[in-house]
Parts: sequence; structure tokens; C-alpha cells
Amino acid sequence: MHDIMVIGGGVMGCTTALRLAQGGLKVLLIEREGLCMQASGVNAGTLSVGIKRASLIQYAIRGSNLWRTTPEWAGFDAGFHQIGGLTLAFNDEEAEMLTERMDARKANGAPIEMVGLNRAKEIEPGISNKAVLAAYCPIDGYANSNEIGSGFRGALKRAGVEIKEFTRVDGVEREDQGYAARTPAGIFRGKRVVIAGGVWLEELLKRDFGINIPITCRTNMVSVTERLPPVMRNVLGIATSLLTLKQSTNGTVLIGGGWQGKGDTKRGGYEIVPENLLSNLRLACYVIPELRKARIARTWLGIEGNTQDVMPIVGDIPGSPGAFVIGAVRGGFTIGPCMGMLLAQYILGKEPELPLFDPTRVIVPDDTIERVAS
Amino acid sequence: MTQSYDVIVLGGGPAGVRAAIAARRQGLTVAVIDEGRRPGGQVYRAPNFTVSAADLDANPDLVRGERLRADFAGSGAELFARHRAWFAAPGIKVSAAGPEGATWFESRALILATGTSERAIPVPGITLPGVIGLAAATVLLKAHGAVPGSPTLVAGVGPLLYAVATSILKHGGQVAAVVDLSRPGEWAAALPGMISRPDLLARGLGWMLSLKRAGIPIHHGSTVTAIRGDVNVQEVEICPVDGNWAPIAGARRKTIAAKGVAIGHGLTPASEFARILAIPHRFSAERGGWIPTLAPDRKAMDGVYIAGDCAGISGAAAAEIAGTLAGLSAARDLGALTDAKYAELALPVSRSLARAERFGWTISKLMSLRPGLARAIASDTVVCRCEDVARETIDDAAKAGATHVNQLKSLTRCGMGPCQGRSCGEAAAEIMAADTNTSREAVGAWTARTPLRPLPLDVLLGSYVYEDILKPPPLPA
Amino acid sequence: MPEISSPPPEAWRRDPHVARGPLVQILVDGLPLEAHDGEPLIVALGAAGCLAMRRSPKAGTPRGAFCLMGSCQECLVHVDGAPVEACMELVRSGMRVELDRLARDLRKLSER
Repeated sequence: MHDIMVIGGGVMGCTTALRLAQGGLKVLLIEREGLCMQASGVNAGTLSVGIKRASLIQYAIRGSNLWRTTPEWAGFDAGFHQIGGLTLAFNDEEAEMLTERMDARKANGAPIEMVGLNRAKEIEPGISNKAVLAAYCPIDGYANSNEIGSGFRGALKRAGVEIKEFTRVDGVEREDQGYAARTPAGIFRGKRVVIAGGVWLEELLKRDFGINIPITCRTNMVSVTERLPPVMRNVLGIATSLLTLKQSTNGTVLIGGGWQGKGDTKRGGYEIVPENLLSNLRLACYVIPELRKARIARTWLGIEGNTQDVMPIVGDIPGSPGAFVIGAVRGGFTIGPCMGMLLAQYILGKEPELPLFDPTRVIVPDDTIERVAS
Repeated sequence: MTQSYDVIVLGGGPAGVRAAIAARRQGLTVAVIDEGRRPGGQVYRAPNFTVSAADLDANPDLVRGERLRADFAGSGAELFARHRAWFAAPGIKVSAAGPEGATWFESRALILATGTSERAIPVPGITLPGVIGLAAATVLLKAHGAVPGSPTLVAGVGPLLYAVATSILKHGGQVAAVVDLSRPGEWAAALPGMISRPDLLARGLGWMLSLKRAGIPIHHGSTVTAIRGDVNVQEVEICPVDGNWAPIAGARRKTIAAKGVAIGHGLTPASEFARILAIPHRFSAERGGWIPTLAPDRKAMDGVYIAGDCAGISGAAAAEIAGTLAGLSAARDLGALTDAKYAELALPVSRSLARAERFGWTISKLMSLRPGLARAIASDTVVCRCEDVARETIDDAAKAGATHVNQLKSLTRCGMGPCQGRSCGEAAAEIMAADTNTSREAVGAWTARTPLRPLPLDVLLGSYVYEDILKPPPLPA
Repeated sequence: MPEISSPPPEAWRRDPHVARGPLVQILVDGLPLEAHDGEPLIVALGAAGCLAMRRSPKAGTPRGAFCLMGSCQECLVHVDGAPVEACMELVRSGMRVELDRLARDLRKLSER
């Protein structure tokens, strides 16, 4: 019998499990695939504080700091690079939106400076001359999302967490002593349980805990070029948040921005939507004209889940004592390690540094769900 | 901007061309997309030079290729040459990038005829400039009329060894040796299967004979264990192998001087588009690796048909016939052929396909990869060329807990480079299967990613202004 | 690229019996090279003994054409500023080919 089981081995599940083990608990982590192979591993790795939702700025600042300091708290290097972030507006309407959104973020503590084209070109010489306004956030950067799975695997093992990868959980049931997780590899038991099932949270919470929290599945496309000589220095974005762009240390340029492909929770991301891909790539080449000379090497799809209010759910699962949920964090890669830390603090009986996100607010009664579905 | 056809065929090799002709003959409009300049694919690749009567006399492949091209030219099917398909989705939508930019297609049926990739299991020195694939050597010789660095050592498995060595001599080059993994007994055991196509069998025997006559050393049951040279190839070390193709420990190794190497260890289906379309695959070592599942009439899913080596290695002769069958099946499903008429046309085709497949499958079985070759890869030998990932890095990933090749990719970047793992996929999967003490089925296959091959953004995006770009409503602030 | 009267043995050799396009001049790293109009660039380079196109990004080892069918990406060069596979690109008069710097150094070495 473990003290606690964590179901789901993405960034949220891994950091929660690690912090709980560091707090002295005997932890079992069960993951359907490999650690951080879904949204946590296939996202573009951008750590942008300057484009997060205003109400999540403090979480993002802490999350970004945690990626910087993984060698201290997790014993591995996540490839953190702080390179600064520049967000551009190309017309008056976008400039107005940029100012308004950045003001809200600044009010919540984001270190953002509004700059004109000349200053923006000093910060990022390769950008298009057509930008009319920019916001500069010096603490933005990135980490190597595709390598964190192995980093967490080592960290968790060192902390004494038992890891079951490629193990599907078919059901979680409440028992006298706590919870039992049924898997093809047998039944595992824990006194408590954390559900960190990413975009699959809706299914898991409905199946095992009888609560309905609608999660919208978003299928994001990310593209990467082949290696290029240096064409940019910062993380770049645009006012509408429809672009993230950065060059990794290996020379490849990652292009994202939440453009939608086709995907669902059954099949994952399964189809590129070419008109969206083209728009994404056109925006990228519009911002950094030099990119037109590059070749695109790969486009892939990752799915993420949003609640109805597009805010996280982190806290107790109502009606199931000793069961917790964590997930649905937009910008989850940046913020994830912070959420894992906060939930672990809560479970370990400490006061979380920042408030959690009570899932009760987004629970929809059963009959509403059925009516919507029919 | 979008071009509409009844049928789109991806690949202008023997399977694709015959599929196009068969569908076109039933009155359907057909477009073939191929990156080459003329139809023919790799095996019947159109020469880059003017063909003489003497060339045709000497080379039955050239005759077949010319016939294929003539038939295609008369068919009324359209060829989008120098176009690389980079996107395909059910529905059916296809996009291809050509010299003038991207072309968008829509169609009612899609026929995949994308051929093969060559497998080359790495040995020390295989990345030296001057070492080329065996299939590459056939392109260099047949299409470009040029020979590799001379003398050339020709190594690997299958009939291509003898075709390439013979062709090098014919084009004025020298052959240092042929190093064949198969033993004479294995060739002899394949004879009954090859008798189904006496013409092809006779040709193969002819190659062997002409090499014997020219005094070319042939080392059977042997493999290359190292290619040495500072800047260029200088010498090649070979060693006898056991029945698993593992170099025999303690056996005497021989060093052969060479200035060029052509090396290949069989073919593997290039089924990337089938994977992108989420068509289920199964593993078949005897057919070259992961193969898409399809019905006997070549249908793999609604509106999608697969023909030729990309459905499992069965050779060029079978590819042509399977192409015809795929074209007929598409025509039937699109209403251009009645079921009765289809049955009448398809029956003889299916029969000759069975004969050709018997031959092709015999060769494919002879070439199917045995585990000793990849297990013998040394720790410091580079497996993934694009990302310089050595064997030991793959071993470390397996030790760290990776059990699937996609995990290996994210842990090590093996297979993540611009070739998308086409060069190293087979070797990496074999190593993973050995390291995890499982099977090729268990370690799986890499996810294929659009655009499959690097695609110039300039070509893809065309000219545009900011206002042209789609801008969905932004997410909440 | 200087004219090499007798190419080194590792160079590829064009079969003299094969009819080819007229000789034209191309520029390889700024140096003139004679090649046949319409032949694959990789043949022009290979026949001049220029087998290393680039170096690998991490280990920096020399690389050249391997698959000759646009798959392996080992023969990537720049032509008139754009990245292309030398095996898929055809020679045309005056084209400007740029190899990896290492390949250039290697060729200088082999010319000495």
C-alpha cells in the first residue's frame, strides 16, 4: 500500500509525485504511455510569462523559475534558457489589444516594457519593419520539453517514487483503506490518489468519481524548421497570441501559437489542418522574414484540455476524501511545476504559496451534460 | 487554386503508373504526383541521358521503363513531375510542392504507391563520403550513367548486389569485391520460389555469371565490419557471419582495398502516408518491416488504395500488377466499373499478381533482416546520421526505461532530424528490441510527421500580405 | 573549384559512352567547375572528387550523398542561397553552389 498514487505522468503528475516523495510520502506514479510524452513533451517548450492570462501571472513567474532551478529541486537540467520575449502588434487594433492585455499582466506583476519599433529592432534585429508596437518581457525563455520525460524519470527514481509506465488505469475505486487502481498489470493501492490525466480528465473524473467537468480538447499544431544559422534571439509572439516563435540552441526554429489541427481524446491529434498550418507559418515568416529561406522539417500535434472558464482545476475532488485533481492549465508547460508544487504543499498539510483552483466551480450536473450531449 | 481529379496517385513508379493507367482507362480523371522528372520510380528510373538502341538491348529494365513511360504518355493521366506530396488527409485532400509552389488537390480516391526506402545497418565508417546505398548505386549507374569511386566494394544482401556490380563493370568501373550476407545454399533454397518468373531468374543468374567471368571475388556469408579511411574510403574490413548475420567472433577478418562502397541491407516499405492516414500496420520481417493492412483488392480504407512495395516488399513486377488492380478497384468503387466487369478484368490480374508475388516474396524473404546485424553495431557507431546519435546513446535510453521508439526519439533525438528516421529507423528499432529483450512489434514504429521531407517555406507559403492571413478570435486574456 | 586534370580515384566517373548535355560552368564556393547542363548536381560534384557536401551538425564529421533519391538529406547544399538536395538538383549554367565550410577545407586539403 502506497501513501499516495498519482495517475498521469505529465509535468503536473511528475512534479506533484516528486514533491510528495520529497515530503516523505511513499508514492506510486502510473502513466498510460511514457512520462511526458503527450502535451508536456510535445509542446514547443516556450516559457513565456508575458503572454499568460493576467490572473495566472504569479503562477507563471514561479513556474518559469522552477524550470530554471530544476537542478536544485529535481536534479536534472531541463535546458532552461532565458532569452527574453517580444510580442508584436502590426496594426492599430492589435496595438490597442496589446496595450490593454499587457497592462493587465503588468498589474499582476509581469515585468513588461512597452517599446516602439526602433527599440524592438534593437532587441530583435531580424523582425519585420511593419511592427507598430511591441511588449518586451525580459524573463521569457524556453526549456527542452522533449527531454523532460527522461529528466523526471531519473528524479522520481532518486526520490523513491515507484513508476509504472505504459500502464493503463482501467478504473479507480474507493476502498476502506483508500483507493485501488485497476490496471492490466494488476491492482495498485494507495491511501490517497491524485488524478493528473491532462486532456483525459473529463473521462477519468466522470468514470471514477462521478463528477462532470467538461473539458474542451484543443489540438495544437507545432512546427520546426531544420537547423538554421542564427535568425533570432528572443521568444517572439504577436498581440493575439496566435504565434510563438523561437530558435533553439541547436539552430532549429519552433513555430507554435495554438493553431488547431484535428484531434480528440480517443485518437489524440490525428490530422493537420493545412489552412491553419499555412496561417501559422505565414505569421512566423511575416514576423521574421529571413525564415522564408528555411525548410520546415516537421509539424506535429498535441492535445490539451481547457475547462469552460479556461482556468485550472487544482484541489480536492468534491465528494471523494483523499482524492485530488490537477490539470487543465492553459500554458501548462510554464505553469505546471508551480501547480504540482502547490498541490503537494496542500496534500502535505502546508499552506500553499498561492491559492489552488477549486474544481467545484466548473462542475456541471449530470442532466445538463446529458441534455447537451443529446 | 485547388485541382480536382477522380483519382490521385502518389508515386510514379511501376505501381503508381499502372494504377493511373487502369483508372484512366475506365474514364476517370487521374493525376500522378511524383518527385522525379519522368515516370518510372527508382527501379525503372528514366535515364538522365539519351537512350541508344544498344542501351535498350543491354538492359531489360530500361525496356520495361520505356514501355511504362510510353503507356503512361498515351493514357491521358496527368503527371505532376518534380512535385513532392507533403500532405494527405481523408476526404480526400492532397498537397504537393513543386518548382512553382504548392498545388492543392482534391479527389474521390487516393492510391498510395510510394515504394520503398533502403535499409542500411550502420558499421563504423558508413558515414564516410564515398559510401553510398546499394539502391543509390543503381540510380547513379542507371539514371546518371556514372560509377562510384573505383574500385567499388559492393556489400549487403539481395539481387541488387549483382545488378550493381555488373552495371559498374559495364559502365567502365572496377569492382573490388561483392560481399553477400547470403550463402550459396540460401540462394539455392530460394530457387523454387524464383522459378515462377524464369525471365527474372535468368537475368540474376546472368549477373552472377558475368561477375565470375570477370574474376570478381564474391564473399558469401560475409558482412562489412568496418569502412576505413581518413577523408575518403581506403579499405573495407569484412568478416564471415553466422545464421543470424552476426559477425563470427574470432573468425579471420579480411581487409579489401576500395575507393568506394555501395552497401544496402534490403528494402523497407515507405508507407509514411499510410501511417499519416492512420491506416493500421502490422510487422512482417519477410515483407520488409511495418506494412499497412489492406484487402486483397488493395483497398486500405474508404477511398484509399495501396499498391507496390509500400504495401510490403514484393518487387517491381508485382508492383505493376498490383497497381493495375488498385486502379481497377478504385474505378469500381467510384462507379466507373460494374461489379461484373470488375470481376472479369480483375481475375486475370490477380492471378498474374500471385505469380509475381511468389517471386518477389522469395527475394524479400531472402533479404529480410536478421537480428545479428544490428546487435553487432558497436557502441560508438553513429546510428542516426542527422543527429549523430551513437549506439550507446540508444542503449542508455533503453536503460533509462524507454520501451518504444517514439520515447527513444524524444529522449535522444534519434530519428528526429530532417530525414525523419528513414535512414536509421530500422537499425534503431532493432537495437531497441534487442536492448529491451522484446520484439520489433513491441518497440513500434516512429510516428510519421507532415511534411515527411523538408519543405521550403518560400515554396509552400507563396506571396501574401498580413491581411491575407487567417486570424481566428484570440483566446481570452 | 580548380580544374582537376585527373580526378582522384575516389571521384565518381561519368561513363564516356553516355551522351550528355553541353558543358557549362557552375560556381562551387565561388570557384568555377565544368559540368554537363542538366545532369544532377551530385554527379558534377562527385566527378570532380568533391564527395563531402557538409558536416554533421553535432560531431562535425564529413558527410556526402548516401541515398541519391532525396531522402537522407546528407547531400544538402545551398544553390543560389536556397537549401537543396544535390542529388535532386540539376546543373544549369552559372548556378552558385555553396558547400559546408568543412567540405571546402577538406577539398583544399585534398588538393595540396
